[in-house]
Amino acid sequence: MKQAAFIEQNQLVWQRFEELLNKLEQRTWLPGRLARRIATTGNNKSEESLKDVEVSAELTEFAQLYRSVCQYQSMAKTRQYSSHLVGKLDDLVLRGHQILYQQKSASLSALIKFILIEFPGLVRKEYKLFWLATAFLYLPAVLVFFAVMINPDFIYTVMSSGDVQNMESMYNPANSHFGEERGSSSDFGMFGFYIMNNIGVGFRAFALGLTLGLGTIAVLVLNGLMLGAVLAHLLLVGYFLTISSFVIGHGSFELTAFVISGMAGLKLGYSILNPGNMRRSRALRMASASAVKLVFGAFIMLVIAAFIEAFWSSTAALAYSIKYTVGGGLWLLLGWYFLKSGVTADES
Amino acid sequence: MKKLDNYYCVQTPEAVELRIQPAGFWSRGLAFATDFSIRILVYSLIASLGSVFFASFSVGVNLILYFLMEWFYPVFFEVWNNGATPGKRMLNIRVVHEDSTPVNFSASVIRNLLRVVDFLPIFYVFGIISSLSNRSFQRLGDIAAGTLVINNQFKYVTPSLTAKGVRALPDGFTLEDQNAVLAFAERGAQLSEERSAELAQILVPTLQAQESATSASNPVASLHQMANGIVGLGP
Repeated sequence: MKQAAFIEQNQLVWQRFEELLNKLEQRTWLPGRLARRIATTGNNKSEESLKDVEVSAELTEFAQLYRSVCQYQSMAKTRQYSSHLVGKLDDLVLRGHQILYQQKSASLSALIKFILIEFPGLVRKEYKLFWLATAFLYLPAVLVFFAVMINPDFIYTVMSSGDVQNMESMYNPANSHFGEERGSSSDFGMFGFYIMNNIGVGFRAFALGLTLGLGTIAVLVLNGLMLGAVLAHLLLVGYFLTISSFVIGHGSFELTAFVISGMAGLKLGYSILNPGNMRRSRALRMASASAVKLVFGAFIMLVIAAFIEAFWSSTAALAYSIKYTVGGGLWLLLGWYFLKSGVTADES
Repeated sequence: MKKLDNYYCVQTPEAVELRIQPAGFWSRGLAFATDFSIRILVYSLIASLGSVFFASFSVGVNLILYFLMEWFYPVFFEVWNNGATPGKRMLNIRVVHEDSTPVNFSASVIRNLLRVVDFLPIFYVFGIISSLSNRSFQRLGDIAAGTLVINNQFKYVTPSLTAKGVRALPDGFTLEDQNAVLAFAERGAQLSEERSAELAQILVPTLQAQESATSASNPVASLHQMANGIVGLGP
């Protein structure tokens, strides 16, 4: 069949297909349902439901036409028609493929489901990595804690003397606010600072997993060293009440979130080191798809931790006993959440 | 023979092979530089106006904005602006999955969080090395997320054949030759007159050797008429 005859016979099909493509390619900023609702306000109910029916009929037609156009493209290619016709059909098939096989992003209900069910289950599933990351964070802390208790000058191996003085002034019981220097003495400002600082550390702990996990381990160990050293030194200086009541409030969320980010990073590194019977890039891809979910959960936890740290932990106005009670309660809450909430990923 | 074009081929479930063109590190680098400048602009704008509008909240707002822009500015645009940050839009490239579908939230987050590693040791050296060692110019973040940065495809316009009349093909014209003549006719509008004549000169001996046809006084028109014949347009 000559090219002109082919075009004449079939062009109605791909012209209609192109019409539908142009329609579907207009992306709106609002989610589909909401956009339609806004577009049909003022009309009565029956018209709105009619629109739904219209849309689904068009989508069915679109899918059928897509298959026809794929067929025409193959025919045109095999018969070696001119590159312009084949190119046009190629273009239609590519655009159609991109619409038909697009991958949806998660919705709000999926987010809630994630928080309540999927995230704790995922952490439980990767319990080995969890304990490994915990060890990397807390073991150095414990070791340095005892090292500083035995030999107080050991603190200067971990921090410079300027930092030590800075730290002491942060947790002096006589302060009105504990924690970082409050230039503006604004709780919201500190909230912003903790967001930027802590979440950045968490993300870096995850991303550095790509360096075969060594970067992640470094981040965890360094943070653990600082934690143990600070606690021990302030205990020796007599500021222990301030630092411990400060840490216990948000520590449950922040430290656990660091551990989980470390978990995610270690997962990445491990997938490169031991890809099983897959290619390394494929193993990495599969690992990062699930590791990023861990990071997302850790992100939420760190936002909560920043909130608590800025607005609650740092005020000196509250009695220590209140802080310990609430802080302890939060640890128990998190423990219960990770042990009980949701289903473990390989159950369900 | 290995082709020069670095098209990336996607096999669809309908057994069609799609070809998309990955973007190299130069256009990506320029896009990044543009985005970086935009971010700097926004920071300075917010910083200077912040104290006016936000009063005591300005420090916090600044810090949170800085955090969001650093990590999530690309994510926002990649997910809701069809894979293109303003910088990428200017260079006409965008981010897609490896099967050419638009990138979703999870993949975008992965590739942007892993910028940290691509940035090591300085200025994206690891990322550049990775993209140059990869057939599809993927940096480390792209490999982990399964994404590609591609050049946007053009809209195809099928040109029409404007010449009138039909001419028979010379003997022994293969399919390849026919396609060449057809391509010549379809691109006639884009070629200059001198160039068309120059190309048509190649076939003058063949045209003169044709038995029943008229003389090759206007080889360009003759070729156009042959194209009409190939396509099947009537006289």
